[in-house]
Amino acid sequence: MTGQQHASRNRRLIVLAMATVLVLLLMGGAVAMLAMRQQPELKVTGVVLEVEGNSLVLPQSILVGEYGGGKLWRFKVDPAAVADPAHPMNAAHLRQHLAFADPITVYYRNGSDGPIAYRIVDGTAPGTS
Amino acid sequence: MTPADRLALPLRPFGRRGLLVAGLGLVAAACSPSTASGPPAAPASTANPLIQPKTGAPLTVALPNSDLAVGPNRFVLALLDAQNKPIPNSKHTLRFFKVNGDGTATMKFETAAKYYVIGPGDRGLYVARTNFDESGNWGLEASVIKSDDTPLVSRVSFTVQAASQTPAIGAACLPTKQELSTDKPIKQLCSANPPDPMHDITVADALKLGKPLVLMLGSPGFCTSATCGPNLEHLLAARQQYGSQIEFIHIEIYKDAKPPSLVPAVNEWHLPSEPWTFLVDAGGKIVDKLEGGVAPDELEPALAKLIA
Repeated sequence: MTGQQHASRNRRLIVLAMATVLVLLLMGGAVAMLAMRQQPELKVTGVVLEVEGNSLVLPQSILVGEYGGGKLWRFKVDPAAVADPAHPMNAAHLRQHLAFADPITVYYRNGSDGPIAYRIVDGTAPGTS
Repeated sequence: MTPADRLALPLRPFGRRGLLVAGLGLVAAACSPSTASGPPAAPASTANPLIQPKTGAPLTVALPNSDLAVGPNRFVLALLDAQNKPIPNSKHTLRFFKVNGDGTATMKFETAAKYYVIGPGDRGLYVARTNFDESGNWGLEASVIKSDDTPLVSRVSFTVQAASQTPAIGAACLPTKQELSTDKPIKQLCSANPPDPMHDITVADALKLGKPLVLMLGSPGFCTSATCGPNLEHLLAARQQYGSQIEFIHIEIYKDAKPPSLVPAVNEWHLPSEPWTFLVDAGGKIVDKLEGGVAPDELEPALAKLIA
């Protein structure tokens, strides 16, 4: 085999390896997306019972009393949860929800030391539309 | 002090704001120690984030105040039933206790809150006027009398600071020099839609007029249905009536009237929440401050007193 043939073969092998890696990455991504779709979104709807911290924007934590049984949940709050520019669900706004027992829905993920709220929106109390 | 005034309350150590729900013997504590500068309140450390399997409490008290301090306070509370739905306009009593270092508690005073309807419907707030004589941990025992005369009892603990974060009642109004409608477009000064007309004089200049002053710090454009929006409407209605006798000023919370950056006044006034309404007399002294929602029924007599 000549030097030119060697180089050509090596190029083909590199291209083949890259293509294989790409296919594997795409397959992995697809599997991950499918898994995420199948995992139910974690959320709690209830009333705010406590807003911890003295920042107007980001609470240290919130305590939520869930509808339908009164379970109590304490959430740390991801800064992303209070960053909606159209309807900033910040600590001040959550205190107003608390004052009027206006419902919220908290979307959360489980962190290493408890649940973390990553999105908070106005909720709907049971029996209302 | 009678023995009945000094109770051994089943209180656990609380943080800045602790919640105790107690219903006919059922007590559920749900808070971890925390301070403003300390670590965040620790949630449940297990994979299951649930703190309590179920409260089942027929009555829960929730406290929205963020700045309680020694001296006079506007103490706001919400009373919730077993389904976590608000109990409006109830017959009730409130007993306030100072929690002692040894775990006992001393009853300091008893009062009732007035229920102010803000709407829609009977949606509103309980407001009690309290005067705390010392800082530290306090407890509130709320008793709601049901229609069949049986009481529902709930306890909640809270912290009273030695001094309030926001300017205190009795303190001089801060001479804020906020941006005005002569400095920039009104839509960058006010999130209300349409913008309100209370952006034409600085607090500093208003204080020189020798007139009483009502100052609202809030973001009505981002809280249209709940608190800030109605507060602004109430202020605008009051301005129609008292505009010649009282100066009305609104300072927006967000820089350029858009989140997330805050205007300098938020830091200057050390606001831990919003909205706030400060009532200032003709001498420049803060005579009252109202955190959160304010009903017309509550605002009206306060304004009448301001010009009396």
